[in-house]
Amino acid sequence: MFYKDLSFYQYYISSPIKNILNIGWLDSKNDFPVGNSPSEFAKKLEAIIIGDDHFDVHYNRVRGIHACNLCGEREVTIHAGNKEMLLGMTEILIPDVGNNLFFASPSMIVHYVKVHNYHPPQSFINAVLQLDVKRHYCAEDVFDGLLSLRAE
Amino acid sequence: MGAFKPKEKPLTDSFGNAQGTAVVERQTPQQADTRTASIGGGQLEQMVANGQTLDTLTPQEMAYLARQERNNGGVLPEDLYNAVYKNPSDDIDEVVVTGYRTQADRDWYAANFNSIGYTGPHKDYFPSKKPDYVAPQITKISLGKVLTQALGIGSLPAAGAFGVAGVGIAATSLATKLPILNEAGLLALEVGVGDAIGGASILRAGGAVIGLGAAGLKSLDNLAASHILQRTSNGSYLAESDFGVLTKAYEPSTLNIAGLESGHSFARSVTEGGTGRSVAGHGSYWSQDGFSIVPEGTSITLPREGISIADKTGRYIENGDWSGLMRAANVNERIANDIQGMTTWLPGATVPNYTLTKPNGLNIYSRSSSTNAPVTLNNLLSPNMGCVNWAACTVFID
Repeated sequence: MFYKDLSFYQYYISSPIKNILNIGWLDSKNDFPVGNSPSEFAKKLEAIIIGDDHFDVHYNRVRGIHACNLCGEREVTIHAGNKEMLLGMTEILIPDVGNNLFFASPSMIVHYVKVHNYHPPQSFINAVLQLDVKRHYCAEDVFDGLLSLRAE
Repeated sequence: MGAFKPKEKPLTDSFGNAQGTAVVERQTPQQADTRTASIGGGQLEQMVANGQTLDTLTPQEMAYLARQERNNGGVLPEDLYNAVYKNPSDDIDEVVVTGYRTQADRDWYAANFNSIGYTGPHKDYFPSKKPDYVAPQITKISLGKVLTQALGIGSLPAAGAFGVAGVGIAATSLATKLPILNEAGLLALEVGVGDAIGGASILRAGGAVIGLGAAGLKSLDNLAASHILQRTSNGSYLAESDFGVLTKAYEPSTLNIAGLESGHSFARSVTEGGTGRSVAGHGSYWSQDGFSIVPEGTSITLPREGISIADKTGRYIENGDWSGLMRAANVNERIANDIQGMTTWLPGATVPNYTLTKPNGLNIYSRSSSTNAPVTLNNLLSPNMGCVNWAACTVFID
């Protein structure tokens, strides 16, 4: 599924959530910006995606395996210590604390950045770098809350 | 039993499909069903009035012949093929289903049915209502658009997106009954009908496994679904609300799949519980794996072909919480989409030979079955398992 960067989030919902912006919804049919991102950005993004129960950016987990939209690699995983994370089976919701916004991406975004040199918008890079992973965060709860607010 | 010879061309509906059967072609990953309405009470009355007659070959005979053909490697004659993949609702009088919504329909029903079945002027045309009737093979029961709309679940995909029931069917057609029946079938599995009522033997007998648990009745509330069951099968399972729920739900036994090594340790979390009737993990379909035939005494409920279901949806399935799933679908479009076209496939049905892999990163239940290595559906299913739920995706991987 391709969405233009910074467009309003509308994946599987009938009307957009205007405080969630799409980032990194790439496919092989649409151009995307490339370039070197700060090394600490990719590193932190990977750490965030590996995550833990205390700081969990994942929501909309699905029960399927999804290949990379760009290279077709199947069962793309990342590792940290003994932990393994299968990419492509979740979305991640990154808060942009200062702007009362969230960025929604497929978890495959870290593969896009590291392997395909995808360069996301600077606002997303800043949001990732500024994230305080020591505080509790549960993206699924946040997302459900945003959905509810939208329905009201 | 003699050779199958259709006595006449079946009637066709406005789609050009034969009535009296569901024209369900062999399922392939890229091919959706084309389903049409089946003949029912009102239509039948009209046919009789017009002097038309019906093919008298019984569904059991057709199913038998079709299986024989298939086992011999032959290609099923078109008519036969259609028949064996018949619409499950053929066993259920549609008036009971669609007609209970008005007092006039209730009156009609009261005048024409008793505890045995249809007793009206054309009772000879209702062989399924004879007391000794054994319901024919039913290959699938699925959840379609109309029911979900009736339940107030909004924002559904366009009709073309539906994998099974609901394809090309106008809400005003006879097929409005389909999703209700389908839903009934789906809900019947919530307590593992196989365990509760000896469903495995029912399945072996080719009987309909359509029913409603208490939750299902509550969920469907004012719809006619609470009345549909008394005409469904050979009498081995009734859940007719007028007479109270006639079955008692027992705790279903967990699946026991030979050679399956649990992959629970790969899950993100394992919650104590679940019905034990589900296989859970990541699901996919590799086209080279072909198809699997649901064994005797076993049924499997699958999401429609080619979709990713949410982990949440899978948890509802694992927990047998069908009414909870309905409620969730009401507020979550993702889940509403997941349950569209969910189908219970009964013995003899041909289904994609999906692959289940370890539940990496998922939240599953302790009583569900999982795997630590990829395993295909034909290696998961065996005869007399009763009702099995596939709590995984059906996404295609070429």
